[in-house]
Amino acid sequence: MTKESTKRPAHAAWRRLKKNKIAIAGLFIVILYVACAIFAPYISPHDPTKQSLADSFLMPNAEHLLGCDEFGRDILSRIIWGARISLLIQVSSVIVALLVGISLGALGGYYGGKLDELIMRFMDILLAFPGMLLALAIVAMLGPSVRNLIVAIGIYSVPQFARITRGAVLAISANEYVLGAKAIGESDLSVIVRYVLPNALSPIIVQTTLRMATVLLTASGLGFLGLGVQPPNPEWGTMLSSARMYLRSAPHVAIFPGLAIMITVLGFNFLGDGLQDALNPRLKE
Amino acid sequence: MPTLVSAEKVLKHFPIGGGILTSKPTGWVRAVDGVSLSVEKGRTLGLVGESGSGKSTTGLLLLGLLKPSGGRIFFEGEPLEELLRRDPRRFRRRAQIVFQNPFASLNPRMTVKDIVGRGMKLHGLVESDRELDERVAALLSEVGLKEEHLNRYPHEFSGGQRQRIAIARALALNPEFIVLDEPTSALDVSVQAQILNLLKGLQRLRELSYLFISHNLAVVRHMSHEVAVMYLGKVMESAPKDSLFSDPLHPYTQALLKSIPKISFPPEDIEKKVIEGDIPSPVNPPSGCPFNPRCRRAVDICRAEMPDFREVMPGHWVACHLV
Repeated sequence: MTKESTKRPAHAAWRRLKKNKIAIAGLFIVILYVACAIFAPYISPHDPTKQSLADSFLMPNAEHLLGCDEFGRDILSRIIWGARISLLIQVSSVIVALLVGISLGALGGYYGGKLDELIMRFMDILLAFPGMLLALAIVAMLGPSVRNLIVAIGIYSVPQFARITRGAVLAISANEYVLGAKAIGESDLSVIVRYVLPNALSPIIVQTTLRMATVLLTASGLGFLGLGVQPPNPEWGTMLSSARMYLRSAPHVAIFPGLAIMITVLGFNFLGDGLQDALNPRLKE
Repeated sequence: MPTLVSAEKVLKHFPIGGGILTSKPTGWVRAVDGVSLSVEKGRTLGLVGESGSGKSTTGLLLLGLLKPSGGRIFFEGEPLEELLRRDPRRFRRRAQIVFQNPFASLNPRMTVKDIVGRGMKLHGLVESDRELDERVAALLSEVGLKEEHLNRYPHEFSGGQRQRIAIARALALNPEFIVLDEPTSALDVSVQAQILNLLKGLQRLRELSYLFISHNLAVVRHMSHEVAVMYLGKVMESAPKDSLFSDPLHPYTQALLKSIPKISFPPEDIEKKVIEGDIPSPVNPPSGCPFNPRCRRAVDICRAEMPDFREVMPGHWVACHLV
C-alpha cells in the first residue's frame, strides 16, 4: 500500500484534472471571472455608470482600454461590474435549482414508486418547454428584476438537477452499504444525507458547472430581450442589446460584451467537461 | 438448544409493473414462497440454493429489512412485527448482517472509524469520542485489523480486509444474530478460509447465531450445524449437517451434492451429474413441486400438487412426494 493511495478520491480527481490542459484553461477563465466579480470596485478603472457624452463611442485607447459606449461609459469597467451581476444571478439561481432539484431527485430515486413517477412526470412537463421560453414566461409574469430572473432561471434548471440526482441515487441505493446503514438503524434522512448523496456528488458537480454556462447564456439572453437586468446596470446581455443599434458605426461597443459572454461560457464548459473526465475516469475509456 | 429466530411459512412477493396510471401490478415475483426454518442459539443454519432461489431475500426478511407478504417470523418467541413496532432501534442492535460483496458494502466516503463506530454513536452506546476510538480499535483487533487502520478509507483495503471491516461493523452493536449473506464468495480461496475461521471463532466467543447463506456446499458444510436447501422460494429439505450430507432425501439435494466437482484422478465425468436446465422463473413457477421440470424421478402427482414439508426423521424435514 503506497502513501499516495491514503488520500481521498478527490486528490486523484485533481491529479487527473491537472493533466487536462483545456480544463485548466477553463478553470483559469472561471477564476478570472469570479475575481472580477468579487474585486470589481478595486480593479475597474472607471465608474461603470458615469456618463461622459464627450467620450461617446470612443475607440479603445490607453485611458479606456476597451473604449466607451453610446453614453461615454467605460466598457471595460462595465464588463468587470457586469461579471458581478452575472455571477450573482448564476450562483443564486443554481443554488435554487440545486436545493429543489436535489431534494426532488433524491426523494424520487430513494423511495421510488408513485412518488417517483409523480415527481419525474412533473419534471418532464417542465423539460417539455424550451428552457428560454419557460424563463421568459416566468419573467413576463413576475416582471423583470434581478430577483425574478433568479427565480425564473432557477425553476427552469430544476429538472436537470432532479434527473441527474435521481439517476445517481437509484444507482447508489442498490449498493449494499445502503442496506447495511438501514441494518444499523439509520433513519431514511440519514441514509440519504450520509450514504447516498455524498456518493452522488460527482455527476452533480459536473452538472452544476455546465449549468453555470447555460444560466449565464439565459440571463444574458433575457437581458438582451429587455426582460433581464435593466439599464443602466451593466449586464452583458443588456449591454449587447443597446449596442446593437450602433453595430455598423461602433462595433466595439457590442463586440467586447459579446466576447465576455462567449469566453466565460466557454470557460465553464471546458471546466465542466474536464471535471466530467476527472471525476468519472471510467466513462472516458 | 433453544430457538433464537424462526420463520413460519413466510412469503415475500414483489409486484411487477404498476405505474401511476396502471395501479394494478401485472404480476408477482414469488421470491420467498412459504419458507419455514429456525436458527438455534449459538449455532449456524446454512442456507443453500442456486442464485434466484430466494436465500438473500429470506435473510433480509429475518432482519426485518423487508416486510413479509405473509407468514410469521419470531425472535426469541416474540413476533418480529411486534418487536419492530415497539422498539425498532433495540431490534437493530440484536440482529445484523454481513454482505457478499465487500466492495459494495462499505460506504466509500466514510473512514473505517465512522463505518464501524457509526452504529454505536447512533445508539448512544459510547459517552465520548475517545471511548468510541477505543471501542472501534478493540473491534478492529478482534477481527484481525490494526488500530492504525482507523482513519483510512475502504478503497485502501483488500477484499479480505474489507470483509473484516464489514464484520466489525456487524459486531459493533453486540448482536445475538448475524445473517452472513455469502460472506466469502467474492474473496480469493486463500482468504476465504481465514474469514470463515474468524467467523467461527467469533461465534464461539460471543455465542452468536448465524444464518449462513451460500451456494458453496463445501463452505456450508464447514460452517453449519443445520442446513436448509432452498429452491425457487421454498425450503426443500432441512436437516442437521451430517444427516443432510450423508443421507440426502430430496432428489434436488441429491443432485446438488453430486454436482460438486471433486479433485480426483482419473477426472470424474461431471457432465453426467449436473442438473439439467435452469431454475424456473419465480414469476411463473411450475405447478406442483417447483423442482418437477428438472427432476428425473418426477411422477404425475409431482406435477399436480406441492408436497408437504414434513419431518421424516427426527430433525430431518423434506418436501417430496417420493420420500
